[in-house]
Amino acid sequence: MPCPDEPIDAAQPADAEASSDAVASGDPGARPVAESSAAPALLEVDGLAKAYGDTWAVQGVSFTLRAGEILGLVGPNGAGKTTTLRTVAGVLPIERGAVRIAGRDLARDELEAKARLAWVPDQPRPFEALTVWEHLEFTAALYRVRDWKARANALLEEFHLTARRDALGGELSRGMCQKLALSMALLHEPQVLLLDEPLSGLDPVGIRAAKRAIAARAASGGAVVLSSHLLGVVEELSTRLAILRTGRVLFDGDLAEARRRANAGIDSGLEAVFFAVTDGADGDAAAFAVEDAALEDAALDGDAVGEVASPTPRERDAPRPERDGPR
Amino acid sequence: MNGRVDATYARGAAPLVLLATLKLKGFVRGQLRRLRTPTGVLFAFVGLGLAASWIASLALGQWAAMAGGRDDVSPELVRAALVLFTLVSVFAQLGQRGLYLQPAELDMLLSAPVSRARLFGHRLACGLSRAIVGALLLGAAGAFRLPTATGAFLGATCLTIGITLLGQTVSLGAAQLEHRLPGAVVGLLGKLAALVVVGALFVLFAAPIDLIQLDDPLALTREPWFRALALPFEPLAGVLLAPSASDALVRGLPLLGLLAVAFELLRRWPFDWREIAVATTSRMGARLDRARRLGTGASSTGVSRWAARRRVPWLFGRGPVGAVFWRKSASILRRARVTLLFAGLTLTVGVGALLSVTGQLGGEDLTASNVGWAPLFLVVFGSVYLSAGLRFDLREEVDRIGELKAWPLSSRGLFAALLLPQVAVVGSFLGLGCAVFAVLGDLPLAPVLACLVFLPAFLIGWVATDNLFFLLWPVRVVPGADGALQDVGRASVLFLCRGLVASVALALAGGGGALAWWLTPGPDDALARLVAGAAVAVAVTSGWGALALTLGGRVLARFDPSRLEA
Repeated sequence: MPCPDEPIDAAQPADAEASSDAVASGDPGARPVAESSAAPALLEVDGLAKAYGDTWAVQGVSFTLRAGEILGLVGPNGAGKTTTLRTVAGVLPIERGAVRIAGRDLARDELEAKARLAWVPDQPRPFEALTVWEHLEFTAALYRVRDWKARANALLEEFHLTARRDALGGELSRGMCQKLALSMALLHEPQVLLLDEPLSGLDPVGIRAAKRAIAARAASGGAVVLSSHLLGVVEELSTRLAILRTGRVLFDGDLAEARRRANAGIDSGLEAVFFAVTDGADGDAAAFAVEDAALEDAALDGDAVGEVASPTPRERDAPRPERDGPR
Repeated sequence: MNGRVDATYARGAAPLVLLATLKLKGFVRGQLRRLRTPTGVLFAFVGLGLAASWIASLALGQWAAMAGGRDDVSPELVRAALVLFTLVSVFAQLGQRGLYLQPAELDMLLSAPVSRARLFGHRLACGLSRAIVGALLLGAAGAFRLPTATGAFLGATCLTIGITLLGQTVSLGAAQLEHRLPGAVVGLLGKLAALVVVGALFVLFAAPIDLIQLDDPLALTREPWFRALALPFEPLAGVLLAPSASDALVRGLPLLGLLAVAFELLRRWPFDWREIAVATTSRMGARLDRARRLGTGASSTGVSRWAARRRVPWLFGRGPVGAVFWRKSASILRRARVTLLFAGLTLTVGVGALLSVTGQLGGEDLTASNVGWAPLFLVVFGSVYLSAGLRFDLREEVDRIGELKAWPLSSRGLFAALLLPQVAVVGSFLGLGCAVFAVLGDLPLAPVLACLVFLPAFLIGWVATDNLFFLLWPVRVVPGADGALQDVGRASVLFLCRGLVASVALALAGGGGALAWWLTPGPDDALARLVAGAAVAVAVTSGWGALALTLGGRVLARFDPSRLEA
């Protein structure tokens, strides 16, 4: 991994570039090839836990995401998806566990870690008095992006925002806000892209552009976490799948594996798998069944991918760590 | 690694300086955009004129009063004002515990490579820029009251900056404490604080003579405990009371330096405020959103979970009108318990003041002709004042007007049903006020009864006219919102227009009543004349109300909610 203090141009691996070409060729559904385990780990989440008062919103979530991967994060309302993403993005403090972004620990090396990620919240809220172009100008300053104007123009073109370049943030519709947020997130070509419901409010043209951009980011060596209730989109774009419920990872793997675990047919879509996993007789029982299998897998290949680490009852009852401290 | 990122990451303040510059540019651009239309220019002119006349009255009023010579300013008064101003500001901050970031700042900056110290510094700097505007107003108010204008402006600047920094410290400290302590302890502390405030008010009202010498209220400031309380304000009082400009500068500039150090220390406070900022921004965002939709009156307050447990009775049956009435009643009873309490207190003070005035004016002669104006005054001004404070009318519903129009009611019925609960609440308050006034003041019954009959007619006319004007020229004033100057101007003009309509209606009602009084036979029978006069006045006022309701229904049917700007 290059030193962050060196100016670095976008140098992509050959296979990633090939994949990127496929995406750029116009096939909106072109899915980036999932990298092998030799690809660098760009996002490592280890035993993440977060409580609101006495309620644990996230309980020991762990996963690792490598270059070129798109992780589809799905789960019912209140499963902890947004809290997980907000914590990984650094908006919420880490109470327990660790997050590493491109090898930088988010707690200890916060600014270096944040410089390598971008986050698109579920309801992007731009500055009311700033124009679309000024948002991009500010983002470029924030991340010290070189030659940002050409890149910004390309993004505006890609998301059909060129005609709205001088519109104020307060004048934008929900879909326009979403397009602007995606443009801002992609401006500095982040290594890790966190997306919370990125397609909501978008028109079909916008959805197509967003899908292409997400796939292209992964194909050019980035890692993407895509949280969405649109299971068809998740199925179409993701190379991996994580199903959350009550703050725990019920499943982490690819769709074929999910079908096998959920005893669903080979042609079953993600929707069938999702309901099989989350609508079982008892959520906890289903979770433990999947956890056991995942832990077995992890033990077999000695890899952290797919590891599920819910806190033990003792850990849960332990006093919560100090939240405050100098950063 | 990111392909387009430069050698060093944004550790400096440059992006935040750019953000502040862009925001300022955006603000100016927004103001200029609003000046593109003739009405925008006109209302900006009116708003600016009102603001300028207020500032001028602050500054020049004292200058005119002095007529050539400065009065000696009492140091005790300055100290007392400083202590009081600071205490009130800090207590106000306790009500908004935490750290408010703009939603866009929360989304973009917390996940960006910007240190929290710099981000906190940016928020503080934004707060300080507003404080300096406040300092200019305070300085203008004090320039002719204090020995030197330099001392007034410099002292006001130090005061507003100090209060901003102290308020943010208290606000964050309280939020941190609240965040760490168990909920039950926080609740207990809140109740204890409320008890202390109520106890202090009770002591103040129950034993005013012992505590405050009415002929010398500043005697309190000479008490040792007050001197101890005012001790930290001594350097600031020194700036304000400095005998010369150079003396004010010598005292004030080091104080500004100290405040700069305090700013830097606060900015670097080693405390992770992210979770508190997320909670505060969410809470304040909901409050601002309600203020944008519902204005800043009672209807914009949140619904307490405790209040929502109680069922609201269906007073007007289960038909469409009854359903609308019930829904509005639930909104009033669940939202505005505290506001209703304060409205009751305001009315109590008003009735007390009226009793005092009528007692002095009437002496022993409490005849209808002598004090009959007092309940009428209570009805008219009470209606205008309380309707503005307890605003549960059409404005509360304007964002869902399309949905409302689909309900199975005629436009006129809908318009009336949306206003009736507010009329009922305000009318109940004022009716009770009139009754208390009559009983305590031992007034003759006839004029009070006439006013009670007149009350609903006038109240319906006023509220319906108010809402009719709102539908015709919709404007919502949100303090601090973009274009607030124009909105204040427009709201002031519309208030004058509504007042004009009400004055014409009152003049017609009064004229008709007087004519009926004069034409009624039997000059010795005052009661018959009063009944005739009141009947005509009520009939004319009711006609005004019916006309306003009819017009309101028609305008409501054509109303386009997209015309609302705020």
